Amino acid sequence: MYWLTWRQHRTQILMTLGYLVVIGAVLLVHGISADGLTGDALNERFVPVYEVVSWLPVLPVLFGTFWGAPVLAREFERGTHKLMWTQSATRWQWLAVKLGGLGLMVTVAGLAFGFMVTAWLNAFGDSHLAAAFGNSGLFAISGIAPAAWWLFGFMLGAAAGAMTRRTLPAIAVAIAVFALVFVGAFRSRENYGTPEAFDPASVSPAELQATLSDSLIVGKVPTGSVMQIIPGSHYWQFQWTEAGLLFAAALVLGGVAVFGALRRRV
Amino acid sequence: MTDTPILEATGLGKRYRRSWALRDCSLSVPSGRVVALVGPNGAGKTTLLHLAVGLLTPNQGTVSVLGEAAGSGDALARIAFMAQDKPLYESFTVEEMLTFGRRMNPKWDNDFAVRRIASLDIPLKHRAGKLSGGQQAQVALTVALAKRPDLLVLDEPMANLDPLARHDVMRGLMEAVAETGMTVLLSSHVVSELENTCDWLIVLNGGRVQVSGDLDELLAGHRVLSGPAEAADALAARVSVIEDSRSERQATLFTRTGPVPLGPQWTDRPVNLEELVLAYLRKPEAAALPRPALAVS
Repeated sequence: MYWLTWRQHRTQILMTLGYLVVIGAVLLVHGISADGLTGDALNERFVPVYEVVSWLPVLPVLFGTFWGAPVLAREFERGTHKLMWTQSATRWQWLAVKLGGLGLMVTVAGLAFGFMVTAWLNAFGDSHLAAAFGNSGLFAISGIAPAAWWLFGFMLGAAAGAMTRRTLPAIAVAIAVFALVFVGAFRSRENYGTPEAFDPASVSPAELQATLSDSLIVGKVPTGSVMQIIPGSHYWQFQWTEAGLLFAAALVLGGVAVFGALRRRV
Repeated sequence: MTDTPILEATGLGKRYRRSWALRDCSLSVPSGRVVALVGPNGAGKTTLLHLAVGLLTPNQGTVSVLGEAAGSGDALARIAFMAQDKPLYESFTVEEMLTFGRRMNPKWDNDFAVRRIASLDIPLKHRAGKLSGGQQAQVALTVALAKRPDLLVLDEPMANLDPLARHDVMRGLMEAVAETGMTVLLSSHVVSELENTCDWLIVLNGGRVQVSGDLDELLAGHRVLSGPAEAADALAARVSVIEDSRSERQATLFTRTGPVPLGPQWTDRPVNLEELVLAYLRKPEAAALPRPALAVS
């Protein structure tokens, strides 16, 4: 069963591994090159790569379309499930290895990616641009969040594939649902914790910029008065909250995928 | 050998949304037979086969393979199935298809599989999706045979094959049957190609089993009687008539009967498989089934 899953999905697995290596190498070289830089020079060095990296929060949708959607839908489309389900293994074993094994790989890959991005951001730690908490894009690709996002994307695609039983409609459904969840998650993030009052007048201008770029600013900002912010010290609490919600959603979607696959409509 | 039937269905029914694809289907197939499942399109043949291999679960009744519920792990290890579209993993090479079979099945006979592919001149390194239709059917059949099943189920194995490929596939199948003594259950709507290969017949019509029995016994148990129309009613009262066609003077009765004493104006002749199947299909209310077995001990 492991051999089959590997043989069927080795293209995706190797491609993902390849991309991870490339991204890791770029981030590593770029991070090393930041050594010794400060102030505007550091910011200028950060920006070109950041402009590319800032697109990476949409990566989970690729796991939905290239990993998740075909994983079950292609079998139903080609009729190969009739071949697989009449071998000596039960379809539960088949599903467990396919969804469980691939899901585990996606999660580990996401963890590795999050680790690399976090290390890269740390190399630019002196730049206010590299603050991962105030930037919703960087928040989603650093720490443990990408593991949860990637697994969510994969299970979303798998569930859509199991329900539609066709790859292309499954991809369409996965993209649409992902877009909604993506926007919804980015907007609801400030609700993971309670905001604190912060008076901009109480700190120096430099400190103000550093604090605000690493904080979530809640609600409207009346100039010159007290603001409601969630400071960067809540980073890990928010990471775990977001990851927990997405892992739970992935688990539910995994259940949907199993239900859809075992409905026995041959 | 045990007397457990290789395939047994009791009150089997399968419903798709509102309509029944198969209903009240009871049959019992002894081991070692080559069973032909025939019937018109939409009769429920594929549904019955999918139930037998556990791809579908019944809405009513039960179906078992050698006493194990169809679709259970024990039953799955004893059956092999080739679906009508003969699915293979298209991106796999032929060799990888054999690896798939070996890794999925504990009883896999790899020597047999490799030998069979070699004897068919199918290159092991070719991708399954690039093979001709006949070769794909042969690879699919090899994967099914090398599993060494007790019951091999084939859904329309001859469909989409040219005459030469049909012949080759059928011959390969019969060689394997002779070698292993396994039971084969195959469906077809082309009756003529089954006459020399099958020894058990199941006729399915409108979701119901009309005929199930040993082919030789069925053929010996039916006769076509021809004679004068005016005497036909008297004869029809004595024997079971499946089909009754009369012209003004001549009557032709397709009857379910052994040898009967006939008047001098009457002639009788045996029936062939095609006539037998057609006669029953034209009369959906007629049936030739073994009497219900007594309570199973």
